[in-house]
Amino acid sequence: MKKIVLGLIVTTSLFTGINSVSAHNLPNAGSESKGWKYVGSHWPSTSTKYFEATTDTWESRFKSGASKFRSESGSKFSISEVSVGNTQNFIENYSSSSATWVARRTVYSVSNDHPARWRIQFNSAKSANSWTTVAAHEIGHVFGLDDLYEGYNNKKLMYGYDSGVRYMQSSDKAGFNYIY
Amino acid sequence: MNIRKTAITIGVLSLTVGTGLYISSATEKNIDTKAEIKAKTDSQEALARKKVEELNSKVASGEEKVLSQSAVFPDVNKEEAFQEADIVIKGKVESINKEYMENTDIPFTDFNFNVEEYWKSDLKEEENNSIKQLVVTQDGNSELNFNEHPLMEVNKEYILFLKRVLNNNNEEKLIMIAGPNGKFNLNENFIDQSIDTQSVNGETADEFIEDSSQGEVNEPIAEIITK
Repeated sequence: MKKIVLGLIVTTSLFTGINSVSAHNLPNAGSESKGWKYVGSHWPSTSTKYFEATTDTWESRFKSGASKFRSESGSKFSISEVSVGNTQNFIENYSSSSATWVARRTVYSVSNDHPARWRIQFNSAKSANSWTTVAAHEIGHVFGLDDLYEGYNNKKLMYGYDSGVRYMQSSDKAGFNYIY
Repeated sequence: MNIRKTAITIGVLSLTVGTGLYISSATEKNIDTKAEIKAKTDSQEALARKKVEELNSKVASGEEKVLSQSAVFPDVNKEEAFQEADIVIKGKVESINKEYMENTDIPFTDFNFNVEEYWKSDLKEEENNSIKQLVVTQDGNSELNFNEHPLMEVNKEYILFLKRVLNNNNEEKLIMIAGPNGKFNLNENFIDQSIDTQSVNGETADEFIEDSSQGEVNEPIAEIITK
């Protein structure tokens, strides 16, 4: 009898745990003064995959950003390239001289705060102060953080302008800890 | 003795021929491997292009929706914006000329912008006095916009730092320098930005443009007289 009860407790706690990961709605949180803001959606787990639909140059820039993001987060996150067919997330470059942005992150079909897929697009008609930081910043959006604009946040990874090399700071990490 | 010599000679020759054959086959194998890698890479690229087209067509057909986007814009201050601009104007949005997407989901809006004052211009002198309206392009449209770069509103006044570019259809467009950094909202002739990254809120339009030009320009080069 004891074994049955124990088994039921273990099974129930396992299912509860799984549910909390798959239906993970979060209220809006954070602020400029806190140094992080929730963007309203986030990838369901700390691990994501992508395929590349771009040239070696842009692939290398993205990988450099992914490596920066991974190491500055203390390997909390995993961003790995897989072959086409194993994911619908992708990175690409597109040359648009009339667009003024240098990079863009798009998410599609959100359910329970979780996008079905994401895309990161680099505008190859523009130049950036640090493509590595731009790529790491866009990955930060995939994992749920919003842009910051106040001048006092201009050293943070999630600052919304291409102000050069920036690093993930304790406030950025506090934001990610809120989400995951 | 002769037999021994012959045997050694045959042995050496066999070894030499064998080594030659081995090297030749290894080189061929290496060439094959390189060719295989290249073919594999080419096919991966083709697959990736095909997959992107497939995903884009889902968005174009409305089967899948872009739910949010965010972008990194260049970090340009007002002095750099003035320097880089072909045209700096003050005026009012008359109407939306058109909204459109480039490459499936890159959003744009073209505005009919009534010019009140030219502060910098690459137009001819007589054009500055006669061209009353310019078509100005902004990133975003009513379907998909950027939080940090809200669309201009009809009948509202702005100062714009603009640059001429040729888009992918070879059409000339006047775009804002660095997106939100090239567009300044005016409220009764005072700067009134919702995101005031350069701490310019409260400056008058004239003060702001004069500061942006670092004192080089202290009055409009042309004013459009509306009847």
